Amino acid sequence: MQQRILFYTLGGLALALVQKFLLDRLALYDIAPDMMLVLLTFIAQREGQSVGTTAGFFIGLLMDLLHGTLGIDALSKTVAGFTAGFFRETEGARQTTTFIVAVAVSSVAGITAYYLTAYGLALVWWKLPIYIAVGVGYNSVVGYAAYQSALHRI
Amino acid sequence: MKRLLEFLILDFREFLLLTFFCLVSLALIANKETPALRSVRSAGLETFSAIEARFAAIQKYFGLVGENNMLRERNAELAVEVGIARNAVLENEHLKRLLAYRNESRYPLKLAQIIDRTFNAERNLLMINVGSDDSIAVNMPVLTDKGLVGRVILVSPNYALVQPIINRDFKVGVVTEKTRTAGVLSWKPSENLATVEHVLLSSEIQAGEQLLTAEFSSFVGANVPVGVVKHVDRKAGQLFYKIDVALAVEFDKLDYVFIQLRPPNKEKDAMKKRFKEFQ
Repeated sequence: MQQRILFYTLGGLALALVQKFLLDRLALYDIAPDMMLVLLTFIAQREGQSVGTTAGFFIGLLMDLLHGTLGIDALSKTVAGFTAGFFRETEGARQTTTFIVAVAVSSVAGITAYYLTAYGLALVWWKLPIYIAVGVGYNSVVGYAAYQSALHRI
Repeated sequence: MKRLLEFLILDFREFLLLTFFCLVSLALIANKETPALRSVRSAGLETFSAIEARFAAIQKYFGLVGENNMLRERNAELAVEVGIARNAVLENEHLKRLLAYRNESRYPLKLAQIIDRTFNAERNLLMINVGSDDSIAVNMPVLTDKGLVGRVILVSPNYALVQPIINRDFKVGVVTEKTRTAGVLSWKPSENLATVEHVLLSSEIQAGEQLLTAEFSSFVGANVPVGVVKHVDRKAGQLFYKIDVALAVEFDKLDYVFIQLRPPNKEKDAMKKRFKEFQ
């Protein structure tokens, strides 16, 4: 378990930098592909909902520090990690489709939580479905690529 | 109590964690401006800014797309401005030449703008925006700095109709500059060119010679450029040369003209009438 925690931590730190300095610049309609959410979904699916929720909080906190905010990413990733935990994989049954669905659903939860927290009543409501659609699309593609290339082997 | 706690922790652990972390997050959001959390945020920014500096090249690369688009738009705007400026320069030069020509002219000149034109193969006409109220009269010559355009054939108080050289009814007496060969210039609509008629085969006219208006011309003074002899053709069995002329004025680019306010020479006109009687 300790080895896995170390792996997730180091992987999270590396991906956070990639996210901040590369993927955040590919934003479309203010939404960038979220590699951290893909990692979080993977952790939640593999380790369960409790670990997913905790990992979500710390991953979000890390992103908050990178973005110069505090709490917003932590909350949205906590919600996303908790949501992804519902898709915990059973022993020996690793399916790409399940992973992509988990990424998509946790994206919906995470993006909704993020915009509700960040904007509150100032949120332009009709834009929220656009943010969600773009985010789900982006993250599903990134998630599929990551899962097919590396994550399914871990 | 202990059993209740165990029940809550074991069965609702995930929900408790979610609630706990959400509350912590909300507390962080609410207190992010406190000195302690502000220093945490600034320390985080400081650390990652140092790393970000090393990613400047990547940032620069992604920034280039936007910069390129901005430069492309600016380039298009500047191209339009350059086009306008270039036209203004050309127009300025053109008007300067006209002004210089007016200053050098023997007779007073009236500047006019061509406001309408009917160009067809045979009866080309120009309408200008000056008339009898501007001292314009029938038979006054119409010129530009390049040479003869035509003559006024109809006048109203504010407008006048000009018969240009490229009208089949137009005729003007011309002489060549070097050999002083005289002839009558007219427009041949069927061939779409100007020709000089009545030049005897004995004359020494050459291609490339400049054609000027002759002293015997009925409406214009002598030595106004008309064109250049383009081609001299001598056909067997004929008395006269067939001479093609390249006109000095480009009629398709004509926009402003001068009307030479040349007073009629009544004595000369009277003599011309008598001259025709004797013919």
